[in-house]
Amino acid sequence: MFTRKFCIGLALSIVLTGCSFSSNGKADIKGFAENQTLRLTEQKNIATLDSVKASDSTSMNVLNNVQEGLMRMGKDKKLVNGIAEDVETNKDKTNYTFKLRKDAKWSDGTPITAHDFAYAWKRAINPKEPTDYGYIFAPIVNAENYSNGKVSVDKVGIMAPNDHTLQVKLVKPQNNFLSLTTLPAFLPQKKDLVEKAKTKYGTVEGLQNMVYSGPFKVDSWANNKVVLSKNEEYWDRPAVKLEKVELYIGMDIPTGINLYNTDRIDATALDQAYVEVYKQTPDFISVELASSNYILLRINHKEGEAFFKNTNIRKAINLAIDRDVLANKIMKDGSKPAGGFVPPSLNGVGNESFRKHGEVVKYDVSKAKEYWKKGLEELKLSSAPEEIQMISYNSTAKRDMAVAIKEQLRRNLGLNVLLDAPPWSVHLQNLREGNYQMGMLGWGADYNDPISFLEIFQSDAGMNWAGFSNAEYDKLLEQAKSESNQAKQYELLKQAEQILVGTEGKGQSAIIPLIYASNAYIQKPHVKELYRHAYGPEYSLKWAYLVNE
Amino acid sequence: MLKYTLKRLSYMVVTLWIIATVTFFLMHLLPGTPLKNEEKLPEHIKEQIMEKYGLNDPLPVQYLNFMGGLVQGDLGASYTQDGREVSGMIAEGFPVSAFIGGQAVVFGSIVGLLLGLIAALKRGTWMDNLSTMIAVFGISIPNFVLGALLAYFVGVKWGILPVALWESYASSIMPSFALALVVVAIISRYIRTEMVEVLDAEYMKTAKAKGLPRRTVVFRHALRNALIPAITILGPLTVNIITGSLVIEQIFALPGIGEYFVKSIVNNDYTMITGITIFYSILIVSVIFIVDILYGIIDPRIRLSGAKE
Repeated sequence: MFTRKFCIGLALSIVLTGCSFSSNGKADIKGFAENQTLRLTEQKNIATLDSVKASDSTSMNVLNNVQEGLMRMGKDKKLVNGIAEDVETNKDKTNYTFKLRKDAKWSDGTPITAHDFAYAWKRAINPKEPTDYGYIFAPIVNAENYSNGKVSVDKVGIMAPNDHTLQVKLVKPQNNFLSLTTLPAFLPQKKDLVEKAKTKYGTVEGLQNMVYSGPFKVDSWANNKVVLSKNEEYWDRPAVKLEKVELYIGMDIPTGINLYNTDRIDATALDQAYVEVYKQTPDFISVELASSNYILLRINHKEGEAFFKNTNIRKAINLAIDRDVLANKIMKDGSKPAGGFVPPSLNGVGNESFRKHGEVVKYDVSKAKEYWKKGLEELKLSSAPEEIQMISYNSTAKRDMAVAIKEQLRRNLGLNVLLDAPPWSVHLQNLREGNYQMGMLGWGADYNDPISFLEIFQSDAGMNWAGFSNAEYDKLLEQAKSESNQAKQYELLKQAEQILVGTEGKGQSAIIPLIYASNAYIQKPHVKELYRHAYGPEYSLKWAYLVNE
Repeated sequence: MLKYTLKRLSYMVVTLWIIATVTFFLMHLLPGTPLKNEEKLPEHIKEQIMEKYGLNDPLPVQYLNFMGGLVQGDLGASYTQDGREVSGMIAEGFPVSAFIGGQAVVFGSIVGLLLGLIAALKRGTWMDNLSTMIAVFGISIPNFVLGALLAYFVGVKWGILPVALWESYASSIMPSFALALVVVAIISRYIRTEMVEVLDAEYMKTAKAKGLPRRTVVFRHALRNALIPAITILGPLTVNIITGSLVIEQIFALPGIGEYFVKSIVNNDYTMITGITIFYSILIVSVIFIVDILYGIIDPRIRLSGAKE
């Protein structure tokens, strides 16, 4: 039996904040501000505070700070213990046993038990109440079968043998299962409260009956303003230094910046129009995301000719795009040129970036021209087809990116691409139904696992809208999925990515990577220890505090 | 008068039914679905969710369900805000939009009326020219340009008023002012044109010849007649302004209902689209009804012809 002990969250949080503190948590911090009220903005409204239903960024961000799951995301992608104080796994990482801390309490003073977790998780996959994130439980034994109505709920591999033990059985070894447990879908819920509130659970109307397991609780939520206050029942309350958080939701970027400049808020998001203005100031922050943008090429679909079925044509496109221009001249927010699909913020082995081995494809016009010529000959075309259309985003920066790509392909290959920027729902529908030739798209990971990127292009994956099918690629991924040794798994995934985006050797250039995305913010220098994350919820306020300037 | 009122009321109901029906079918022609996290949803789960919301039913069945709810006053729950009643969302946001808009209409009408009167009475002078200039600005500068300029100069640069957010009375001044300019422009133009016409009428000469004081001539005889077109336009104008402006509410981060008009369509939030359209229609139809009654009070000739119908 392989046992891995995780250090206790409190001890780790002291290391993370980089300062020691006495029981009241603030004595030793230099210039600790009297008023610990942090003011932030969110661009979108909260869809729901029901953790089982939440799938939008604002809801997930608030939930991450008012609730706590088994594990929590700390600084620099490090997992710290949440309600779980210890976890044991078997050797092939298919059984996880979580020991819950006995001092964990809901904000109403009642204990948080393993049953609260089992209840919420099973609720997320209830076939009668399908949820947006239910699919994320698929690694758990029979979760998918239960959500399809094939087996009963007691067959699902989630067990709570007693109040402080939660056992989870997985279908396959999963090296990164702990990263999953930081997500809102894996938060605990109190059964009696959920059942009492019915459809009002997690809405504004049901707010009085909510209880919280995390560092903060929601005091009010009205008129686009959410106020959080410190949860005095939280198990790790000495680590929480903020007394109050004001969150202004549904805020436009220019308005957020006006408020920031009049000192009404402490941090806000930037877009491309403002990045340049603030980039040189000490307030500027760029956060690397676990998200890549790429061009989807229509490779295999039943109807119509498929220009991009030709591998040489795809390779030519792949080599003819100068990603430097896209990342550094257009996005400017810290986004990086992408020569692969898996972003650098995801880990390969241990805490090392997946991209440690470098990029797969590089800008090379002369090679691109060669492949282009070869491809056209194979297709018996004398020149590039005239009606190649690319579906692009309708947001300003990404539309500019599409225009730059169009210009590069025209200049480097003589290919004239027509651009179309429909509303998002139409954009998605066209890609899903194969009603496109080239389509810009992004993929973001919810948790730290490169497989969640690469598996979407397996032949039978629902998200494989390119119609890409490669037996070797499928095999490599299946092997990687059942590999419990991370180093071996990383090798398999590296080979798979080479097939997916590569131009050399077995490379198929099935998709054309563009950039690894980042988000840009401005934040007052008096805000300390506010951790922003690459995947899952965007930030953690547990350790944040304010100092006097 | 009662018969006339009842007849108008029944027209209102029919109008609303037609609007609701047309909106329902038009919105189902929109491509896409109201689902969130759509790019990641596996196909079978998408199906389950569509099934749960009854979106897989044939359109006529969906229409009957929708109408059934509507008759009972149930607008349904929003798709973008899980489980929240559309009526609750409108009820929360409308007072804010109505306050900002109402203030803009009152301020705009008073200033517009004064400007129009002065321009008509002082025809051809610099005052007339100034009023024309204000009207041209009011019509041609979009409220969001004015709003953004106000926010930057008055809010950020000079720090006189709060730059955004809904916190005190002061928060309402800039947004109301930005919305009021167009009201000023429209009302002052209408009043001026009508006043000029009325002041030249034969009965004005009679009134003056009778030796009535100038005040009585202008306010009792001239203005009363000149008000009718302004009131006609004021009704729909008020509804437009108090139901909120997406852009002004975004610039000043106000929690109004303006955004629902646009975002519900972008997100395919079916219940919100129908809810907000019906809410807007009820307001418009009611205002038209009130304006009809007002005519009768201002001009008894209209009431008489109405009663004869």
